[in-house]
Amino acid sequence: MDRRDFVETCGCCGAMALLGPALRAAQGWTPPPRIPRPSPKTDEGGLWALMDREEERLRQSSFLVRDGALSAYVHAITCRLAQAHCPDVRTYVVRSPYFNANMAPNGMMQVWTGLILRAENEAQLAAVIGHEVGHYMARHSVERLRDAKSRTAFAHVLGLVPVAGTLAGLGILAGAFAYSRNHERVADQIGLELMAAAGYPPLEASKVWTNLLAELQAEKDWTGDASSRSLLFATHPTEKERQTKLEAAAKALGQPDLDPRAPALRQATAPWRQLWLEDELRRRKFGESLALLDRLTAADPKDGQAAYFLGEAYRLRASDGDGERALAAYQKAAGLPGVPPEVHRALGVLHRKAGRLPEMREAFGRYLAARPDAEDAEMIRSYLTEGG
Amino acid sequence: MNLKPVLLVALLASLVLLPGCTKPATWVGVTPGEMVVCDRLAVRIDGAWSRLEGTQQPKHDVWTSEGMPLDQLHFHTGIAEGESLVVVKDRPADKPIPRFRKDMQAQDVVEMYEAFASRDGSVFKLEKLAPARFADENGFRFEFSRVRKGDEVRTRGVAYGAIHRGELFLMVYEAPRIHYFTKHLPQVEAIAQSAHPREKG
Repeated sequence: MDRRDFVETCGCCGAMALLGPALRAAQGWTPPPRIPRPSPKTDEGGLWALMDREEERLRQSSFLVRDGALSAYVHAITCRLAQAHCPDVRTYVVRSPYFNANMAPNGMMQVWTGLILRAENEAQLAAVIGHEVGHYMARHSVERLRDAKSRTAFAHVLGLVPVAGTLAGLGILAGAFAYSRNHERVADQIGLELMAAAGYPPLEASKVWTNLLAELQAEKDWTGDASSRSLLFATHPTEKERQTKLEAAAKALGQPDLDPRAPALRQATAPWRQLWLEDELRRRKFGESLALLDRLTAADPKDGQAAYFLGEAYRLRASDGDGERALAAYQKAAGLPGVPPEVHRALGVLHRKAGRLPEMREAFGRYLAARPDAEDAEMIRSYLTEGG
Repeated sequence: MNLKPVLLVALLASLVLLPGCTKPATWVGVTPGEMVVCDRLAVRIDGAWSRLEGTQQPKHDVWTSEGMPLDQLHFHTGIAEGESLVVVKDRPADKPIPRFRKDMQAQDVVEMYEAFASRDGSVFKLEKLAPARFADENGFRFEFSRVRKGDEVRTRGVAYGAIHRGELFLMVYEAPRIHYFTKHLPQVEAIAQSAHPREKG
């Protein structure tokens, strides 16, 4: 376990909590007026000032995704949800392959790329953002600040942050705002209300949870005991119940026929998807990654990119039979639209290991034709001279 | 949230650094001239280097010239089938560490190193991979860049690798791309050119 693991377990993780009394309480809920900047003489004002400094650090971070179009797209979703609060919330897309989002009390919101990668449509992304906006609107962090126990923990965390002074430190800081279960319930419900008001089908919120549960279960099945370390299983022991209640709450809100806007999300993320899938596999959580890639390939059987990365996941997992599974996935992917040229390199490597030199040359030749200046082109060319 | 996880992080970090040690590892100056790293790789050294002694890593040596974490030179010597680049105890089952296989190709070794270099969330990018002589074998040389997660320092790296009689020999140098990388690169290249494997004693 290292600092990163700790960060992963912090924050509300874009999670949505058990609905119960909060659902009934929030029926007919209306958004509060915009939150004015608190006086610097108050505890809340001090917290905002601290967050402002951290936000400046985030702006300098190497892990911030500096893509104007993507940032504008995600921020536009935030604005659809936050309505009048839109000018007070800043949306930052952060390169990290984990499912996470968090909101600071001053309106600084982080959305991690691992979360965007997992959203099947814009509505699912909106579900998580809506939940975070819910925390902001309800000013949950201020309540946490004024809770004596949290304040002690928060003070300790502050002692750590200057050491890091980085995204990692910011993650720890975000963890200081780990909300109570009741706060999560309220944020869940506000998120659903905001989704419905913005024209998103609220039922998509429970699907986020369904997909995540499937990944976690797959990881558990693969490793045997992942549940003890999974941030979600660790901190939210009743996630199945939560998913069920979210679904029921969404059905109560109605509006199942609204467009979840899947093509819009796909288009906005297309330039980044390959990098994010590479990042995903670097986590080496093969149970989760395979569940994700199985879902992506099932959703669009003609998705060459997803098919290629399914092969990559098998190859890297390297368990019994994975070589054959990888080869099958690569061969299928090679004939699909959108497949990256790296599929030919992957096939070439497998042919070379098996001593199939003519097939190796053809595959490597196709790779080099597509990527003559690839970083490994010199190495690949050396393979083409093998075997006479 | 409470302090427990923080303390746990510190404790585990120290255990990872010094598995099985009863005394802390210390930096010891390396005498210029011929030396054999981990009893398996003979190299000629020119310049001031220090090596970390007492790490309980029989096949992994860490050197530095300016001091850690500014620059670091890693030697992985004689990694056999099924072994990882470094000895890792009690690795969680859901975070398997990649292990060496004799049939690995250059790309596979790069990926294995990448998993090692990005295990904390650092961003690793392969910049170049090409054939190269190393350890008396037709091996490979790769260059990479990395953004370290902990301090967000941008580094550059160069590595030489080869599989000799079924065992992997890998030498990796990494330093901040500003100033330090190029400062010691000629020395590192010379060390790589001087490397010869020694058979197991």
